[in-house]
Amino acid sequence: MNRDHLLSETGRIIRETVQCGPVAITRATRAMDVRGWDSLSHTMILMQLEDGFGIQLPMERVLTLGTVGELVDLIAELKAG
Amino acid sequence: MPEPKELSAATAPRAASVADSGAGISPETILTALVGSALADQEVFCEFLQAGKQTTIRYGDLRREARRYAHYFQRNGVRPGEVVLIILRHSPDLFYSFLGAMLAGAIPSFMPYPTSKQDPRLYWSSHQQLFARIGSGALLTYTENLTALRTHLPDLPLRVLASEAAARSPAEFTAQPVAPGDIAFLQHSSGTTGLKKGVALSHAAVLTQVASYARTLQLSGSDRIVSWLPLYHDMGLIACFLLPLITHTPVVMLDAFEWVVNPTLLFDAIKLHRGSLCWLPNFAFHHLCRTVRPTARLDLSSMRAWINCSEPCRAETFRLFVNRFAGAGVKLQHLQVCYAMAETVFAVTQTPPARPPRTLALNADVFRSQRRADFADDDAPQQSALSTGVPLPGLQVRIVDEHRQPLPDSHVGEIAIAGDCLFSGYFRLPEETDRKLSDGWYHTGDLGFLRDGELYVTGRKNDLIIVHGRNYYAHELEYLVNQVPGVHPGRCVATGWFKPEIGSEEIVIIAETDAVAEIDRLQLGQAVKESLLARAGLTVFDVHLASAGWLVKTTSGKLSRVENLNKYLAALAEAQAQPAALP
Repeated sequence: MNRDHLLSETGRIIRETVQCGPVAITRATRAMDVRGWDSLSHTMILMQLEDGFGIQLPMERVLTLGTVGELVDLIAELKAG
Repeated sequence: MPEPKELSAATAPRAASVADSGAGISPETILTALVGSALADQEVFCEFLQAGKQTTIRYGDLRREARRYAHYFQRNGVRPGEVVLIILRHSPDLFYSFLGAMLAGAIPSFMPYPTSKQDPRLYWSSHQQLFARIGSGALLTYTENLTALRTHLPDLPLRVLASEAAARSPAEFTAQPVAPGDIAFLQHSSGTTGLKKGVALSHAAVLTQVASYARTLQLSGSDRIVSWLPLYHDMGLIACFLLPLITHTPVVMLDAFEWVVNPTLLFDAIKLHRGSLCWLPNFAFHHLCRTVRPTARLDLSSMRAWINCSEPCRAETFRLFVNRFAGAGVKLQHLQVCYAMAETVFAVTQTPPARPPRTLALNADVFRSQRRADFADDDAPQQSALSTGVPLPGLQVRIVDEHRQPLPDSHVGEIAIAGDCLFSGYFRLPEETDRKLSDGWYHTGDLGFLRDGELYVTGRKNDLIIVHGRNYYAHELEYLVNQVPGVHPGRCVATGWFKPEIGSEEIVIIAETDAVAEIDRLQLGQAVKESLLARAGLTVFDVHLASAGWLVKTTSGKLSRVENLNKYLAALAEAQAQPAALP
């Protein structure tokens, strides 16, 4: 799965988890840009990403993420292995 | 180094002794717990868990490091009676600096540390009003913030001190007299930074509260508290820092940011350290139910009380939590409720341990139309009310009408509190103090009723919104939104939307604007969010920008928060019904 596919799938999971409706999720998107994406729903998103991609997100890395792009890069790194 | 005379261990217990429960001594001031001779240096105060590491903090560490801070504050000219604001990350330095300021005779106060997402310019400048009110004293933070402080607050009246330097100070200081009636510390209410009120609490009030609460909880030497709560919040500060300190009940402390991302950490800590007491806001019970994986190997059998506090508690929340974690040892009688506030140090009422909190089925029509709690008939619509328990020994609770006259049992009115652990006042806000505190009664602004000696909290008189245990006033948020360029001044509302699935309220801002282009609206929405995050530490659920005339007014011409929220929710439901087929 390339980065574009990862981004697309990540965007789908975010939208479904926070139920924000049909908003575009890009690499530059921050949590603040998406309706309902707060610290609590963030945890739900991370769980869905872990299940969806079959990975385990390390907490110390997750706490420093700023954008969806950084999140996608981390997922790609973990999937590569 | 001489021991401070006023803090000698020779002082006799003044309140109901915590020692009665076997949990420890009852000291004359908070500091006696630190400098009294009864304590062994090796006794464990706290297991501090952060970033996968465990640091054991013993009373000897507390004494030594607090003295370093006391030395550092005194060497830098902090005088007795001055306020020391502490703006540090979650770390053991919070304990040391807080107690060190007290040892130096100063008045410490924790403030939330800015997150990486908060705009530093907005964050620091939003403190201007609060710092000006404090007038003189010190601000303790890290060296890395000094440039931002000088840039964004050029006229700062406080001395800025760096905590890194304190660690290099000798553990010696000049003892200052500290009397039981002196202000021990300030608890700053949550909400808009500049408008936070400093709740002033005396040593005597804190010790009375702790002794009374320890007795109510039947605290014993075998108890162990587990917490992820931040220390700038009264539940974290009192229940999970000062109560453990004074009663010698070991506490296991986690980082709030780490807990939110990985809630299972709390259960891991309970299992490992055999935790027995845990205070949580209502939303946290839901967060745990939603995020702890079914595969997690849990053992919560050591717990004897999960205390729901700091936002409206719901019977449904308890049912959900028991159903989800019964297999790990959670029982309904372990789920307790506490009604608490900074103005009484902490707890006002607490449900009796070891029995489930009482829930009443009320006649909903009588409750709404006559503001009275009558039991429901079989046929009548019902409304449930969850007890918050009985008042702590030494506190009196009464329900009053709009003229502050007492109401009989089962009648809903404002909750008023009197007793020997009330606050001394709001720091340098005498008019605000007089408005809330009269004839020894503190008028809470909360609504409720008494029945069979138990208090039921049913709502609020004012426009308070509680989000994840933190308090925000709608009018304060609206004031901030009105200052954002592009919003029509006076044309916005801040509304609280209770979401059952998270067990808490979310805030929706609805503001009118002339901006039409999508990019302009996007930027305006961001500016509103960034302002609220930086100035109030608040992440809102949504900022809904509307055209002029969208907002609904009441018949008296005011913008209606309730009606506008309903209008927003209808629009939201419509938007969510659209297919999500975007990248």
